[in-house]
Amino acid sequence: MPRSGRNNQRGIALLTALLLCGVLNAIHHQRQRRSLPDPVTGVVRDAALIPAQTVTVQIAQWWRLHVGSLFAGPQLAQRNRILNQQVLALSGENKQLLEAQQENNRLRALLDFEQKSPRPLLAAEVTALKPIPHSETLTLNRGLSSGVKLRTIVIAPNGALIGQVLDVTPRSCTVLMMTDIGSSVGAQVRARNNAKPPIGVCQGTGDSIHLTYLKSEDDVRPGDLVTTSGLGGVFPSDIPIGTVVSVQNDATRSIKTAVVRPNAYFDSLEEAFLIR
Amino acid sequence: MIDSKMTPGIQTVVVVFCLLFAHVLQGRVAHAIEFRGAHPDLPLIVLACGATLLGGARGTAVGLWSGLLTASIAGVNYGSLLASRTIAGAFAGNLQRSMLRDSIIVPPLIVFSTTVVAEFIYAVMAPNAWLHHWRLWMRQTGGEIAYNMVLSYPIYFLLRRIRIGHKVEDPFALHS
Repeated sequence: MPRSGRNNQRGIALLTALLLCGVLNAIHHQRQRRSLPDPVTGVVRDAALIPAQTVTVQIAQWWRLHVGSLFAGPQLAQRNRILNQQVLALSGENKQLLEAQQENNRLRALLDFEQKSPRPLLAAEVTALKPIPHSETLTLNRGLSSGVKLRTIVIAPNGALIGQVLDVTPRSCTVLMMTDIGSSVGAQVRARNNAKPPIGVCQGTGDSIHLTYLKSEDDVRPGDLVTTSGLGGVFPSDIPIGTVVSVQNDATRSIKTAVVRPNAYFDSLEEAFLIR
Repeated sequence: MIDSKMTPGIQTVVVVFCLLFAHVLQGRVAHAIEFRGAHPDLPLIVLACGATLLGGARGTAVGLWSGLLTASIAGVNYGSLLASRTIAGAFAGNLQRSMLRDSIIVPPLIVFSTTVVAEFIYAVMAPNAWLHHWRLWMRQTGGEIAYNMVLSYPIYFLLRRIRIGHKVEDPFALHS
């Protein structure tokens, strides 16, 4: 093919591709505005990416179980001993808690208080962690078919806050993590001596979390536990976020900012729970 | 896979599957090799190398596919990611004309230029991603470019090994 013909072909290909980009973007935003899943994203993700990611997760699990465990015999035995001790201790604690729960239910019934039910959780596997640069997101293998909706709250197995669902397809969802620069959540610091808890806003900074808008007189110290405040109505209250590492005064000294170390291990997440 | 008679169409399909595999690996491996907040963009490396080896219109096509995969999984800045990867693919495809494919400096050079183009277009189209945190963004992008350049060698030579960009010999012009 002559050079000019090849150039024309390249130009037409680029124009067609850009036109297609515009159409796909318009469909995506139109569907997002109506809180509906984007069919193209759904097909690409659920038919191509999620099956491939699930296969790699299963291969990694098989490898850890059958090959990795061969080299970790003594460590496994020690870990097993520790876990057995923990099971014994937790069984006793659980028995006491069940008795306390029953007593609590009985007293609430006597006082005609509303019974509090625990939040129903949905377990999910992490299929991709931080799949694109400059964005702190993860993908879970649960989607619309499992009852996941936009802005569903996601927590780690240790109960710490991970973030909220940003995008959902029939079989998967994307979660915006708390450490992303676009994340923010109303937060409070666990109060001491029955004082009013200091309230602020937790914002992601890309690699950690900052608790901002604390008043200068708020008593916040390193080691304090930070939880969700429930203000704003998106996140329920009292979900642990992290621990205060350091506190800095603003240049004007009117507000304080605390650096918070997240309680969820964002770099080694394998499973997560969605609060339904 | 190593077939000396691999047509350009089959080569494109192979790159399409390599891009899918790169996206899967990105979500499983990239965070584990993170260094000071910077991690490589494996799909972008495969796109740069694959599109350069395929050339022109095929480069644009694999760029669109890569953009679709990246935008689908990202959940944020859909259009910006889609367009930036498509244009990056077209850019890398057009580099084929001005490159000596088997030179030692070609892999890092094409990956460097394609990453810069992709990140520049993304930054222009989605300023919300960096405007308030430009220092962090610069640090991460710088790290990503360096990381991508280092990883360009194995990926480029792997694609060359499976004969992507290989011209089918047709001395008697039977298939043209």
